[in-house]
Amino acid sequence: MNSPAAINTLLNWIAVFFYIIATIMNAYGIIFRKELFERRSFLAIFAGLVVHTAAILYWWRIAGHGPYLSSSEVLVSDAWVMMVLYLIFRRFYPRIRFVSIIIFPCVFLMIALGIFYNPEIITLTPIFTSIWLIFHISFYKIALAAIVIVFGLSLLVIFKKKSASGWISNLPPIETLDAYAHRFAGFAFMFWAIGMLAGSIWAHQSWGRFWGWDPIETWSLITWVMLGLYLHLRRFYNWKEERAAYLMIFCFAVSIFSVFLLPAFDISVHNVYFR
Amino acid sequence: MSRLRRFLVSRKTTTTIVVLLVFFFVVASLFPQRFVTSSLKMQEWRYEHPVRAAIAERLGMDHVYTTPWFAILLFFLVCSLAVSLLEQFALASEKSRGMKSLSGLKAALSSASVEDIGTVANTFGYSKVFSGEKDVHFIKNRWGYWGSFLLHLGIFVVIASSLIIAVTQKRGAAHLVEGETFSPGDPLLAEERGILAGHFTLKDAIRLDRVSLDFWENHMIKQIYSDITIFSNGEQQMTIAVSSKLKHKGILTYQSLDFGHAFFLELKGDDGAIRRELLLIRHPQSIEKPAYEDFILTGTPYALKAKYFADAGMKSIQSENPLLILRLMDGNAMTGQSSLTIGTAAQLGTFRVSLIRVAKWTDLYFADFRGLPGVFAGFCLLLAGGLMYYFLPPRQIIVSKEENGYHIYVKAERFPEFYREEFQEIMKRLGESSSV
Repeated sequence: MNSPAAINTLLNWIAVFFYIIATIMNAYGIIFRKELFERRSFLAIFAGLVVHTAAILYWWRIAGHGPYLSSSEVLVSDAWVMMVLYLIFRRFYPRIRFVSIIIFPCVFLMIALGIFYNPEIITLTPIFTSIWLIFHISFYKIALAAIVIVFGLSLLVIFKKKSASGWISNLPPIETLDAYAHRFAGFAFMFWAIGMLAGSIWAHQSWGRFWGWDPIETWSLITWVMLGLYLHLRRFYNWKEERAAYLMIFCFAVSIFSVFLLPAFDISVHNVYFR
Repeated sequence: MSRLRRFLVSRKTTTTIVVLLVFFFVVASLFPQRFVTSSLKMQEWRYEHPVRAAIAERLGMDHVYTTPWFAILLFFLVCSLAVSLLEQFALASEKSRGMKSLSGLKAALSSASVEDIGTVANTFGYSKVFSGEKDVHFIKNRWGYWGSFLLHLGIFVVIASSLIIAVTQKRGAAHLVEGETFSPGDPLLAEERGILAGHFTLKDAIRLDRVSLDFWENHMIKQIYSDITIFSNGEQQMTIAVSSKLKHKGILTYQSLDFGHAFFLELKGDDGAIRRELLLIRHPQSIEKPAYEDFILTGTPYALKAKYFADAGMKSIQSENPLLILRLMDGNAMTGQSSLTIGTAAQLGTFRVSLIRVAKWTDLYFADFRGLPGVFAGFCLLLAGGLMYYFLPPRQIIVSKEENGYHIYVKAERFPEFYREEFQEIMKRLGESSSV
């Protein structure tokens, strides 16, 4: 238990435990309309978030760099950004609170998956020391969190369209969910663009190319264009509700492929993690 | 002309262009592209996938971004964007001066005066932008009308600047050993030139004086520094490192991540003939594990299989005394093996081999291109436009004088769902009497 990796794993498991409790309470509260349970679930969320934050900071100190190199670091920190962003957005846009039914399980599953990749200390190679890399990664994490929120809203739109009875009737109207999905897709589109810009500045500084068409760059561009297409179809073709929701689920799948799956297989400067 | 303009900005055209772009990107990611894949890897891929390789070569799928199809698509994209920009400019300019059409909007009747309405509108962040005989217009987030225009202008500038870079860029690399000078006119490795770029020659000679390495405790490389001398009006000493480039007379010089030791060998054959070989081998990744490289001894039937440890004493990753182990191969048969440190000699098959000197080597990249500020400026425009579009949606209040009082119209340019409460609150404060 004295090994830093074991301490880190234990902290992450404790966070997962709190998040699972929160997920159960939250789902019970939403489905059975028990507001008290739904509200109390956020106590468990905050407890989980404190431990989750502690785990990230502890590992940051041990590894000597931010949580963006090893697979476990990436997954655990992505989950953290997702949770924090959801809580911030929820404060400004209270109607997205029902997305918790998608976000909470996503968060604990990502941490659990991160734990199964053994935490390892990866030292920074010279090209990974640029400040632009930090911006590059941070904005992709924010964009990904926004995409997961849109994904959650899109699923709720589809659920609501399929059946208006039971707990689903408790959700805001389809038009409201759809409007939020549209706006958050815009946020994701912008944050993804900022991530790409920071990445191209980093690449220019490090090896003299602002764009190299490596597969991960290309799929990042594909994801961004797909998000653009989603926004374009909504604006000019009046795509909305169920049809737009299905397209967003496809965009979500493309983003997951670009960010998590492709780096596991392909050879590029991006796949220091997931290998 | 009008038909062409309508075609270029039609929803069908723009959607088709975007879908085709995605298609090209996907194809380019499924097939290895010549310009980013080494010729050896391309050969291996062709050998492993003969059918796919034949199809890819015939259809240009192994160089998607330089096919005429992609160029045509980019041409249509740029034309469509240019025409769309002109239209969006006119539209944004018109809208930011006040809305023209009230069709489809429901009005509320208010008995408040225009001044009172203006005061309430101001408290919600609305400013008066137009005051006519009959109508008064208030707008919030006026600049938000320019969001879409700026976003598309940014995309246009990025594409145009990228094309300028693609056709004018010149790139190349040089393997340099400490003490070696690279002169203008020396051939560059992996040279790339855009179709409008001339021959790439450095403006001045560069000498690599020293390579310094900085390692982490786990022996992974932390930083690589190259001390160089540029022979330009005398000698200028400079240091470059990874992510710390040098700009000299418009040419950028980058430190690569490739480095290692260069072994200067002297081989004396049975016949007394002496030949000199220089072996450049990448640096080992740890003290215990060697680095490997194979070399052909030209003019002989032999090949050299070399491996080296960073430190002959196996104590430091930063040693100046590496251990070189050579095997002399005749086909698959090993005809001799020897271990060498600096200044030692040994028998290697039919050769007497001496390790005369060891130095470090590294690669330097050189690049000369124009248009990069345009790419970054385009990105900034794109971001500014996007942020204005999604974070600052404009809203309008139009007050129209009628016989029975003032008709008040409200409209959100985008996401009206989000501003329903704001409009209701404004109407409440204005003492709205009824909808008309």
